[in-house]
Amino acid sequence: MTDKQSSHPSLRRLLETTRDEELDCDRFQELVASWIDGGITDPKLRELLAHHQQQCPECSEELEILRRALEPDAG
Amino acid sequence: MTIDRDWIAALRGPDQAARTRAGADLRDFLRRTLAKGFGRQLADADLEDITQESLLRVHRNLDAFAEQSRFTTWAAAIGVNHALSELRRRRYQHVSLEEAIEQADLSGDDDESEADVALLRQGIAEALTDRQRVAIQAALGGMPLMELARREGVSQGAVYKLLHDARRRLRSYLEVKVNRAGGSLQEVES
Repeated sequence: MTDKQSSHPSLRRLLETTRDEELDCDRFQELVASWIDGGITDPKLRELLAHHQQQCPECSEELEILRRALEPDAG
Repeated sequence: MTIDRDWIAALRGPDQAARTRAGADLRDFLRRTLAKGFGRQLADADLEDITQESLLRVHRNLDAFAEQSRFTTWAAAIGVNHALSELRRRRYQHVSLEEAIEQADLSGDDDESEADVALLRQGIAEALTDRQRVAIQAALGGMPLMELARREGVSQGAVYKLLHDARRRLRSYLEVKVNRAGGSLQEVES
């Protein structure tokens, strides 16, 4: 699990990248499997997912672990 | 290897023997996938417990699977979410909100000046609601949103929305301060 001290964006950086419209974690988690499989075709939605990944270290970590877990076995 | 569509049909179907076989295959898949994703973070005993609970969660949510992704990706996402939730709960179960708030680090990885940090602190005190203030400081102190949500009895998404509203308020507050000072943060600080 990621240590907060090693990947914690500053509050100011979070404020600078805050938008009026953002996906929340529940919606991100609903869509993440489809996103990984390339099933999200709406560019705006893809962009919102990428932005949430940037804003939320927890969902970002979840995505990273999920991608690693689903990597094909070598050989 | 079981094809997704066959797997779902067996899990949803009336044939008890086929359901049992599909459940066992799914359990093996989840165990392998979680072991690969988490590596040493999950001890063997934890891996068994978390696999079992993930399997139950997949079964419980089967009707919600809308075939917008592969079934395996969807099931793995449920397992990873549950495992992370459990790891974070264990890690923070003995950390109080007050302790997290005391650890709140407003500068993060960036080198903020003392004046910047003071202004942010002032914004948190003046612009936010009590709930927003507690949540943003606890989050900055390292408390996972998932854990804040568990303690509040709400979803992680609800905590994210609370923090999103807090960030928007705080940003507006700082913009007003900057505008009043003639357009530069340095002038606010001086």
